[in-house]
Formats: sequence, structure tokens, C-alpha cells
Amino acid sequence: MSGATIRSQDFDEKRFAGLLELAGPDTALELVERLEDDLRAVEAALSVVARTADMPTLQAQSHVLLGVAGTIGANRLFELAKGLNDVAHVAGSPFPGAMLVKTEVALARVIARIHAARTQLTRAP
Amino acid sequence: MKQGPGRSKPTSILLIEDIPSLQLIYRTVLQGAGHEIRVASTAAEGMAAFAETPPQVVLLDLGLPDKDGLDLMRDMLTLRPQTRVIVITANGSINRAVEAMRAGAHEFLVKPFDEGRFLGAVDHALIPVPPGKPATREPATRLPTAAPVRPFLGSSEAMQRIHAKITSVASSMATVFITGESGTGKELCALAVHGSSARAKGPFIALNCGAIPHDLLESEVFGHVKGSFTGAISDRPGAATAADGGTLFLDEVCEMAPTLQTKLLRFLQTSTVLPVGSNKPQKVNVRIICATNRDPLDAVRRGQFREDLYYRLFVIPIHMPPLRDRGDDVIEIAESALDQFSKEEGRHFHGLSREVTELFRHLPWPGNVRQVLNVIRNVVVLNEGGMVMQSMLPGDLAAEAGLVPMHVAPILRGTAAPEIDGLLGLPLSEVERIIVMATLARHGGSVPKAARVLELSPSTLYRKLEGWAKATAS
Repeated sequence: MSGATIRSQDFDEKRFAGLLELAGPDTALELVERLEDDLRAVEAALSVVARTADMPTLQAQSHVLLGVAGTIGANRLFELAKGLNDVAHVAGSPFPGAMLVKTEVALARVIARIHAARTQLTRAP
Repeated sequence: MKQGPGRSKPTSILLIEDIPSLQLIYRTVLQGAGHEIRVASTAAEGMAAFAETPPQVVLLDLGLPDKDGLDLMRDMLTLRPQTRVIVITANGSINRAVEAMRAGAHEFLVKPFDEGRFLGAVDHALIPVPPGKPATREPATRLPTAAPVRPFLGSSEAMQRIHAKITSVASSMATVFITGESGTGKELCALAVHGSSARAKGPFIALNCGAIPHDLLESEVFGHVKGSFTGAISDRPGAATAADGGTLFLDEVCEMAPTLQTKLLRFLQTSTVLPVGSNKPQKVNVRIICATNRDPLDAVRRGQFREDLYYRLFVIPIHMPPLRDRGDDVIEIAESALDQFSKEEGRHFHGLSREVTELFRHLPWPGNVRQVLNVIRNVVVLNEGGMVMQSMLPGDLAAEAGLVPMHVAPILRGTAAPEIDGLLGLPLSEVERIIVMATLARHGGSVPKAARVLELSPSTLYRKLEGWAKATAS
């Protein structure tokens, strides 16, 4: 999965920075740690869903992504998660395999961005 | 479960969110705004925290791992109906949000998180409820019902007149407009009209116009077609279509947005509905019953309700009397509820003790029948059985309902308005006590109302009353 640099239109750096500011110096590191853990857990679950085409799990995981991605300003990931979630809610929908792959790529990029922030905060005095 | 650091007073907000990062963000924002919170990650943890110390506000994510969030909310509201539950939901589950509002949620927030909306919703939910007003919205819409959920109880003279009026209007197609305070049984009255009419076998659809956000109300009433707005993932019939061949009950009709009032008027004139996003009108055959706890004519005068719609709807008025004007109906209702709830909860209660019966007769019940039902439900859920004693009643019954504390009630009864001559020669402290008691008696025992008249804070008045009660007891 690609971990290439995330495009500015896909990730709202201002919103993310505002969130870290909101958390404050005491909590910012804990926040990025939790964000990375949550997103990696979704990443692992989605890789299983890609094999099993399990729609209830897709519904649950896209729900998590919707909440997290929207909150941190991961705009493209949010839109993709929204698409997955909408499909997963409609009974009898065909499995959205192509959309899932796109979501996994976008998710990997966001995880890389969060991990970079985590590294930066860990190094900070 | 984690608690906010440095907690020194009882918490009033319970956050139930299973995603750790979002949990941290919500917690940080709430603490930053000065709120004290408790946090739970699962429905089980949340329910345990709720039962341990009932919060004033619950922030509830619907997507919990161990239980459906809506079921958890229903459990909480059954246990403590005055709790305000703010539902947090993902964008794709807007229909679930509407379902939550129907089930009694105070408000819903759609993800992604927005700090301003989030804190605004919490602040709004923390505003104290005026005495006599229900803290939680009534569910907005109900599934079709063939018969009343509970029998329409009451043998007082006031209720006999209501029964007679229902019988006489049932056979007509005329619109019925029911008024009355919150909790007086306006929906049961509507059900009784429907159940006595030739449409009794048709659907009864109840829609609470005050419980649905304005931008969703049109869709709720008239339905929508797939793709007409974000979240409209399939065609959905509205309440007016669902009520075809039966009765559509519009509760809190005065809360309806002006634009929708215009559409409702057109619907009443043409008997056709036009779903949102559709250009194909559908003919329906529906009888309208509407209700409000406000003075509808006053709403017209204030420009909040269309005059032409008022005259179209206000054909046969029925005014539901408050419980305090219904004599011993309160005992009849309490005993019936005790019997019903005992069966539902598997408990064995024998009836109300004499002291409870006496107390019930004297309480002004500002929340009317709904308040009685909540009190009895609380007793049945939290006690094993036997005779209902005063000690089993909710400890905060008096304070929450804005009533005189129970131990003060005996010294209040029989208080007459003081004559000035009778006060002369008495110590000032005794004059104060007499004036306060007479003011309370004049305002039906409502501490907040009396406090307003006396220009005191309710807490000061409670303190005075407790002091006098202790002095009387000793």
C-alpha cells in the first residue's frame, strides 16, 4: 500500500493543527497516538473485509473512518468512507471492491501523515 | 472507565464513545469548556456509569461495539426519562438520527466533529427545564397503532365530559384540535377519537412536529424520493401517506416551521401529498387530529402560526384538563400503571400505601399523567415489590417536579391566606414563615413559582422549608 506524501486538497493541515492546538501540549502526543492506533485498526479490519466481503464489518469500520477522518481534516478519506458507509447501509448492495481499494490507499497516506506528526511530537523536548 | 482529572463535584455529563481518539477529543473539548465528565467506551460501561450516578446529559455514539446505541438510549430513558441524550452519528446514518429523535433523543450531532456545534448542543442540553415541562422530547413519530397503548383512564367529572365529546366527534371526519398541558394525555385522546371512529382499522400515525429538525420535517410528513437530499438513499413515504385510510396525529403543531405550515394547508385543501424531490402528487384519505400544549390563538396573534391554517384545523376543540383538576384520577392512573409495569418488569406490587395515596392526591403534578407514570415506573424498576411506600418514591421527586419537599408537605396543607390583623404581634420570623407558606399554597406547592413571587432563589426557599420542617418535627 502506498504511503506517498498526502496532497494538500486531501488533508486539511490547518484543521489538523487546530486539533493539536486544542489538545494542548500535554495531550497532543496522546491524541496522535490514539489516532494512529485507531486508523491502523481500521486498516487491518478493511484488509480482512477485502477478502471476506463482510458488509456488516464494512459498515462498522467505515463508520469509524467517517468519524475520525472528518474530525482530523482527512477530506478525501472522509468522502471515500462516506461512500462506503452509504453502500454498506443499503441491503443487497454489491460489494464496493474498487471503492475499498481507493479507501485503503487514502487511509495509508493519512496514517503516514499522522505517524509523521507522532514522530515529531515524540522528538519534541 | 476513565474520569476527568481533579473531579471534585458530581459529574453531570456522561460520554459514551468507543473510538479512543474521538473519545479523547470530545473529552478535551468538554473539559476545556469547564465541564466535568465521565467517559465510557462500551454500552455496558455506559449503563453502569448511568445507574451509579445519573448524569444530566448523555453524549451517545450510536455505533457501539456491544449494543445498539438506540437500545441503550431507550434503557436509559426508561430508567430516568428526564435525562437529555445527545446522539452522535456518522453522516451516512442520518435515518438513524431521525429514528433517535423519534425515540426521545434531545438532539443529534452528525459527524464529523465540529467544536462549536458540539459545545452548543451540550450547553443547550444543560439548560434547566422549567417546572412542569418534560425534560426529554416525546418521540417524534410512532408506528401505526391499532388501539391505545394504555386505556384512557379517568372517571372524574372532567374526564366524563371528555369521553362524551370523543364519542360525539368520532363518527365525523372533522378535524379535532386537542389542547392541554404537557402530559395530560393529548395523544391518548387522539387515539381514542381514532379508535372510536369508522377508521379504527386503519393506521394511526403520530408525528411530533416539535421533535424533528425543521429541515427534516417536510420529509417526515410528505416523504421523499431517492437522491432528493444527502442521506435520501431510497424512496421513503411520509407520515401523511402512511396514514392513508386512517388518522394523522400532528402533535405540537404550533412548533411547525412557517414554510411547512403553507404546505400543510395545501395538503388539507387538496388531500394530496408531494414527496420531497417528486413532481407526482399522490391523493390520500386522511383524518387530521392535531394537538399543542400552547394557546394556539396566542401563537396566531404572535405571528407564529398561520391564521388560515388555525381556522382550518380548529374545527372541534377538546381541552384536556390538568391532572390536578381531575380529583382521584391520579390514584386510578397510578394503580393501573403499577399493575401494568409490575407485569412488564416481573415484580409483585400490592398497591399504594395510604401515605402515598394521600401524598399523590396533594401533589400538583406539573408533569401531569406522564409524571405519574414516570414515578411509578421508577418505583417498579428500582424495588422488588410489596406495598408502595413513601420511601420507595424517587428521592428527587419533589425537587425535579418543582414541588414542596415531602417532609414539608404536611406543614403546608391547610395553609390559608393570612389576614394582616392576624400577623400583628407575631415575631418577624413567624410572619415570614406564614407569608412563605401562603405563597406556596397559592401557587399549588410549586417552589420555583413561589420563589419567583417572593424574589428568592428556589434553593434559598428549599433551605427555609427544610429548616421549618425540622423545627416542626422536633
